[in-house]
Amino acid sequence: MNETVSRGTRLLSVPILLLLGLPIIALVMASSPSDVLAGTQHPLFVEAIYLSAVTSLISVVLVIFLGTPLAWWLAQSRNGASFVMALLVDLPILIPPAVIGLALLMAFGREGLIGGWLSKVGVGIPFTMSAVIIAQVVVAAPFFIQSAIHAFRRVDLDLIHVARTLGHSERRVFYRVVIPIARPGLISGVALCWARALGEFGATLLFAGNLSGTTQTMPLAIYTALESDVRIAIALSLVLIALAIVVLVALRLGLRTTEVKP
Amino acid sequence: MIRRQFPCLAFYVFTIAFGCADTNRQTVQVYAASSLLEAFQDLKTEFEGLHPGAKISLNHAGSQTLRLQISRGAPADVYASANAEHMKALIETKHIGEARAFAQNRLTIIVPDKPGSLIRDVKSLSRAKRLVLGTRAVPVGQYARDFIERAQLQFKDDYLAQVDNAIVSEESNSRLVRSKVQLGEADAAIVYTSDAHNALGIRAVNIPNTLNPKVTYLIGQTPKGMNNPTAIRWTDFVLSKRAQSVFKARGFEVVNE
Repeated sequence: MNETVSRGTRLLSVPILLLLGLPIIALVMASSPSDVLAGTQHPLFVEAIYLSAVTSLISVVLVIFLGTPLAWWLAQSRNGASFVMALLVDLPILIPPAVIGLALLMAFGREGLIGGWLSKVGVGIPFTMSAVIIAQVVVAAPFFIQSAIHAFRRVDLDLIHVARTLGHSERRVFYRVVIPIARPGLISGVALCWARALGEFGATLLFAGNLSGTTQTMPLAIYTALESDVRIAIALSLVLIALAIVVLVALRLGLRTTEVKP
Repeated sequence: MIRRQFPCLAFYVFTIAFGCADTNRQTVQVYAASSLLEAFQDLKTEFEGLHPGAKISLNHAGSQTLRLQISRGAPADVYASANAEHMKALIETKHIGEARAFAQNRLTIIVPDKPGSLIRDVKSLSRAKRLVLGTRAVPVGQYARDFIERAQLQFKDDYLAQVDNAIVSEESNSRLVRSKVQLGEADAAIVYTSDAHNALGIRAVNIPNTLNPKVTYLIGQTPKGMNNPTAIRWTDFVLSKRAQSVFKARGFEVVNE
């Protein structure tokens, strides 16, 4: 299989590989196993990794449940309304996360559009774990929804029609025909979405705040640690990267085994 | 072959040319604490008026962020910090030559500029439900904790515990702390008196001098800055009598001679 890739193509790929790989290699070289161990014993660490794990997991589950119906809808329609909706879905990718954080404050802050009402009944969203989850959902959902739309579009409509004429309901067709075929695309969508949620920083910082144990996820902990002890920040960064690699590898391997053979 | 590569080459030449513009001797890269924003902008305007051709480039962030950047080789000429700790750290590693004090400040409690705030003085700060401070590394956060500890000595009981419980977020510079009150998200915050000066949406609650730590701003030059005559002139300008009146106008206190 490797014979089809020319040497020229491989050479041209080197710069970007270096750009992606060197920073990580530099991080590894700037640290040591004992430094990483010291980092994990830092009081900020346990709270942060726990918070990151819990919030990103909840966010991903929410994105899957909230985003799949929309993705299925947008995969099938091509009118003005779906064009606008697709645009709305893409927007958070283009807007700087800090701007998203500000917008979330405007909507859900104590003096916000919806938040104003909520605070009257005693519900405050900023500075809570819910705020962290909302921020993660908003920035990460587009990644899943886009992947899901592409995955759903590749399902052969004939298969769906056949299944329907055989008497199956739309819901049954969706679960038994569409999902299995779309699964590889859905899984990579989940992987991207999860990675984005885990790495979310700007919107979380502005909207949810920065407090260890409540809203200080790993990226925020790293940023805070950076200003007092760079070695701790490097150690935490390596842990985060390792975690991301483990999950991405697991999801990719899962992808290989679930590919539907024609 | 040159013909085909010309767009690429032209691109590289432009990039390098723009990159080199930075070594202009008339430009001064000033890294200054966030709380100095307006004061330094005023000084910049005056300085550039007095010295045609000079360009002051201001980079504002928490003093601890700037210290990190300078210690990692950021191209600063001048560093203005809100406390001695970060400045001393850079002097020890020879990233800064020597430092001198140019302004002073105090802390104040701020609350949203709306009726109904329960916080009227230092003692009632313990009634806040959502308090925002600076992080432990940023000067405004360190000074705030210093003040709270002094207040605890005066009010005893569980003043410290109550105030501690009320903290909902820690921001990396004084302006971000202030913004949380301006946005109505925090009941109260502790920032510099100068941050509350002429600021929209907030009201200052005074901290008496007995509990109020003295904030001293220091200015120093990097080795790069010491070779830059414009940077030296800028530093002298910041230390001048004229600058003192600018700082006063922006809510700072002047340095005791």
